[in-house]
Amino acid sequence: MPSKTSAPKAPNAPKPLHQARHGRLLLGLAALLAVTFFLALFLGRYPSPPWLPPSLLADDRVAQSLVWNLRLPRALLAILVGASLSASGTVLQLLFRNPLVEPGFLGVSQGAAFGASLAFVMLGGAVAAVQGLAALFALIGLALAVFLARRIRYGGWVLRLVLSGIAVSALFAAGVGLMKYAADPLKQLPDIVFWLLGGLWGSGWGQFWLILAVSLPCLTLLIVLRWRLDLLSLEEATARSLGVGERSERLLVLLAAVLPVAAATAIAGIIGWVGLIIPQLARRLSGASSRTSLPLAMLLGALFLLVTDTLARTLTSGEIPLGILTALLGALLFLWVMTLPETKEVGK
Amino acid sequence: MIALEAKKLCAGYPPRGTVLWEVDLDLPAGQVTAILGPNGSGKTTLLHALIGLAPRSSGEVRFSGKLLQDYTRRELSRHVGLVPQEERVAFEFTVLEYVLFGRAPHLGPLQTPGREDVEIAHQALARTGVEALHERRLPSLSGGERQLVVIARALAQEPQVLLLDEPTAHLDLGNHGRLRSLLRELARKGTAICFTAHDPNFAASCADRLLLIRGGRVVAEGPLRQTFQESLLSEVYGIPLRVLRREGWPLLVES
Repeated sequence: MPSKTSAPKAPNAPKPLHQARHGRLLLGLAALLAVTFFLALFLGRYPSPPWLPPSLLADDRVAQSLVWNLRLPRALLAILVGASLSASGTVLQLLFRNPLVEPGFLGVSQGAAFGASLAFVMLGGAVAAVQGLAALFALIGLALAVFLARRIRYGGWVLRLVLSGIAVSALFAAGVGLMKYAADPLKQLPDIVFWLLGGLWGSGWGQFWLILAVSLPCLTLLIVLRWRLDLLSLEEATARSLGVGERSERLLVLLAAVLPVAAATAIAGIIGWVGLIIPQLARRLSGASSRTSLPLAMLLGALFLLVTDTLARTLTSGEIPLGILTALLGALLFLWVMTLPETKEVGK
Repeated sequence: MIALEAKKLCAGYPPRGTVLWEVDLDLPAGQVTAILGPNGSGKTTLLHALIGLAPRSSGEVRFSGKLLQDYTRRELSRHVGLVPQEERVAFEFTVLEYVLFGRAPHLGPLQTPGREDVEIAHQALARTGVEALHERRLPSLSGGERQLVVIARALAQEPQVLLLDEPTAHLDLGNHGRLRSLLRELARKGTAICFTAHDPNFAASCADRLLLIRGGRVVAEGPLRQTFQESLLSEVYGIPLRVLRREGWPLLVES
């Protein structure tokens, strides 16, 4: 036996400190999210900037309708989309063993972009047509990427999916380029460009229920399976020797991670950076294991998107596309956290 | 008792196809078997074929007398553990989190490791002598520490057969000794051990049995005494070799 044996731990040893810290972090963020949510309902330009006095809700019909039919579903949608993108980013990064993977890379983002631009150019750009075609092509992009990955005779499961995802995205990106080229430069092109930058304007309860119906089951499944997700990030030989990571399990997790993104992208356009940065932040704050980092990423993502969307609609009299703000604030946040001194390493 | 046995096993990964030809191998419970052979002779493929990872083109592998393909992956993972060569982990898990992955075969799809699993993981770390590292993150470990942690992960699996691919690759001399006593101790408690090695002398100091392999074919298999021979080893490595005796231990040198 090795000489360096240590006394076995008492079974009721206290939980490590970082678990308690993680719990406090989650609670604090949840409280912050609740406060932000409440603020988001009242911040805006009616009746005058920067906010709507709550007393107005008692008898002002316009204020009631504004809060109930526009701001409430939009704030809920922001929370849902933020949580979905971040959860999906976390899971796909694990599944592909690559911390630089974005949720939309499997043909979903570019597929949706192509569907939306097609609707703008061919179908006149009605909201339902744009969102419908974006959803349809996001799913076609995903299906194509998964299908082609099975036909590639090169490399393992991960490499094949990455390759086919890149190829499918490039195909649809070419399609988007074609649509932009064919679009009327004065009417249709600005619409396409604006949509591609992402945003939650024009979303109401209908869109919220739709996304909820897709996201809720998927995110619940991911949360429940989150310890197994870590196992899927191991190399194939190791994972299989541990009896996990058969193709059906990977496919189930993949779909649960990508479907909410397809739905969110169809409604809100391409909202970049959230799904890439928030998982990194969460891992940085709570450690790599998705037992802690997945719930944290979902909360952080929800908060981040709610804040950016509220800024997007209140900062100027118009609407700043959400994608611009998520990229700007996301990159700043990312740089700040990544340059913080490391404090968590314990032991020698 | 033979824990794992291969009969006329032919296997290999695409696109190269079959690289192992008609391998017969017995892994008896309570004994250490070493697989020796030059680079590219099929040692890793053989190890992977024994656990059903490398596609088998013909022949059979049995665990406890039952064909490997009659087990589900999950069932098999409760009995056979694998320590791969150079396992890369993309995320900064802590040592304890990583070793707990070894409990996966014993947990249902919706279960997470409980107190008992944490206890087993700690014991596995203690057995490989790296208990003190349990809060460290994987990337902060040295190559040797990491190797011992990977072995601890496989021990947490509580396997009856433990397969190790080049377990000495990153270990210094002190850790060679530690690994040797660990493997002997596991064997004494009834585990069937099989490892591949570059270093014939480590194999000779640790193993009960040898399998000598060259170009995907078995040159010799059997107890150390019969197989650790100048003529056989010279044939396997393709250069003239001599076996010296030092204080009762065989020592292989170039002649």
